[in-house]
Amino acid sequence: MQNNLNRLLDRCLQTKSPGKAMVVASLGCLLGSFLVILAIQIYSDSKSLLPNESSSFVSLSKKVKGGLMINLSEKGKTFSPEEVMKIKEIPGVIDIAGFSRNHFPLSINIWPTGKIGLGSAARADLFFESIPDRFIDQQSEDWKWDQNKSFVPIIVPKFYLDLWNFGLAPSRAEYPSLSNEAASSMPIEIFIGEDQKVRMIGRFIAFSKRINSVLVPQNFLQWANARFGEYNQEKYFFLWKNESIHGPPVSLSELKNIKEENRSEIIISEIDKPAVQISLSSLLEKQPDQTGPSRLIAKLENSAATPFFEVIEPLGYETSKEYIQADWINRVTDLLIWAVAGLGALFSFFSITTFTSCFRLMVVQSSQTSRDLVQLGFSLSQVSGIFTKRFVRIFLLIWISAIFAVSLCKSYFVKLALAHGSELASGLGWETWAGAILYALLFSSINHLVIQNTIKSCCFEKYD
Amino acid sequence: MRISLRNIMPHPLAECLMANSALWGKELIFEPAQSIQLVAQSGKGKSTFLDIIYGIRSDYQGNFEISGKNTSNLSTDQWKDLRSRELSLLFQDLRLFQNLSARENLQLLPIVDPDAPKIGYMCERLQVDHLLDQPVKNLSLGQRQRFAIIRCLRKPFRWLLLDEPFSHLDEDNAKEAALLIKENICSKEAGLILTSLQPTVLFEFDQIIQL
Repeated sequence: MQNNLNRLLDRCLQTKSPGKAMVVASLGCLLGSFLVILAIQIYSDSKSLLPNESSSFVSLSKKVKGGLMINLSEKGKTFSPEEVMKIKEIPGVIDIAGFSRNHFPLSINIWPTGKIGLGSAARADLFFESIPDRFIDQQSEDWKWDQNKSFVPIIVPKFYLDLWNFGLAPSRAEYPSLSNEAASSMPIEIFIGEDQKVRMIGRFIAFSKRINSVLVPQNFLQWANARFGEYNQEKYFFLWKNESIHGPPVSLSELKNIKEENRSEIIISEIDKPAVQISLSSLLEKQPDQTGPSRLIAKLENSAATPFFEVIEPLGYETSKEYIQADWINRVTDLLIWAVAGLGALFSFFSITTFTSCFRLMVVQSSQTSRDLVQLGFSLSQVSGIFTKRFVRIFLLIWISAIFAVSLCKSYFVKLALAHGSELASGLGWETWAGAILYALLFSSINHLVIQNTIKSCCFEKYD
Repeated sequence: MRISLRNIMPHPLAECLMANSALWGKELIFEPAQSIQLVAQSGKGKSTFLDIIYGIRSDYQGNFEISGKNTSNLSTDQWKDLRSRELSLLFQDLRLFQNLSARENLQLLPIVDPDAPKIGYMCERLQVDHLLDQPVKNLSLGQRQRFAIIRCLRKPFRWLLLDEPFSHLDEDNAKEAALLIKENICSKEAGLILTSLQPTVLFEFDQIIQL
């Protein structure tokens, strides 16, 4: 009964639609809807791909100057506690910590085939560093380490994997390209010591976009340094006086207790190399200073990044600015997203005005019929509902087409991201669906209101 | 449902209707189920009067109440309810929908009175049953007027407002239409306000107002 009534109302209010204007409005609406929904999708994708933090991370080290010979003697360029404190007091610094590093020779074999001994291994001398977990962006259960654990968890920078995939793998037939999962499952043989006597197994558990270092858990590095660290082991030296050994061998810690002003006069040699005699001051200069880190990581408020560099650069420290660049990339991406969204909104606005003009024209064409229906006892909403339904049918088709087009773009983005070593979740995100539904409701509501107001003015303008 | 009008004066007709009118500017009370005839020449405001009672004109001064309620305070929705449930108006220009068939015109009502006679019965009485599926635009004025009367009778109403209902009907058809109208008014215990150019003997009116 109700269906029959609606059918009759629909037939009764049939008017010739303004064809060309309707096509233009539909195309404008399709383009506008597509751009708005696409902007939301790009926004949500960019947030998952780009660092999105209210703070930036910067690593600091002392500048390396001069040539090989100078730098061999300057291995111990570390930050003193006073220097660390001074940096920490710079406005905008939220947190700061030092990198700890390994004090033992280290090399690794990476087995890209996933099995030790199968195929070719990539061999490299390496280093390990560790920082407090609160600075690490990629943490999981695998990151935890204790002596019973079967492997050493390692986090490497994401660009290491990119270097492998886009540098090493294409140039070497025996090395395949690796996804995050494949790279994480590769066994890594870790050899410790000059003679590589200690062998352990490691695994990449994550790829950091924040830290440019090869990270292992702090407790592992402390344990390994205590056990294998060459300078931590107590070494003994001969003391030389008048070109002969003077007294029993003396430990390094005892030598460090000798007053600085006397060090240059004292000649020593290693027990197994008595012919190589050097002054105590030379020896201690070559020892790395164990009291401070050689590299720091600082967490900065985003807004404080520029003033921080203005303060830090005159102090002569090296800083890694790539994270600030990431912040800049974020800003540019945001700008582009807003530009796309703005363009979409502009198209949508024009399509709304064209649509409303078309429907206003259709309503005006059937204004006498609308008036007769209202005077017969039909409500305004019953009459306007007929036009709104017509609009919704067209808009729904456009909206579904826009969603489909954005889905196609998303599939392309997923492939593009994969080709560049990143991963994007397939399908449209919930933000996109929510935004698209909200957009549809807003667009439909505006048109519905215009239709209703036009009918109201048509039905009552004559007498009121 | 009582209709009372006090000093009603439509704006466009104010000057020419003010003098010597038995309707405009006077106090009139129509009790439920009364029959009233308005007789006047063209241009005296018969249709305007029915439009005011039906709530589709508000360009007048004076006080118009339905069941004791001042109609100037009624909302659009309240007027819609009155028009769909309490009042039924036969427009002088009939207001049938040209692109629908006669049957569809009779079906296109917001609310149909369940106690109203069936479409087939009323069409047979007015001898238009064979035209039910014809497009309205193909019908003569007399045929259209009969369908418009049937549409009015299918609505629920407590007041039936007929604006020159037999203007396009011959005597026999007018008699039969009047009979059908009387039957419906009686069964519903509804009131009738009928306008015409000349006094009609087809109804027994409680009140005849000569404009």
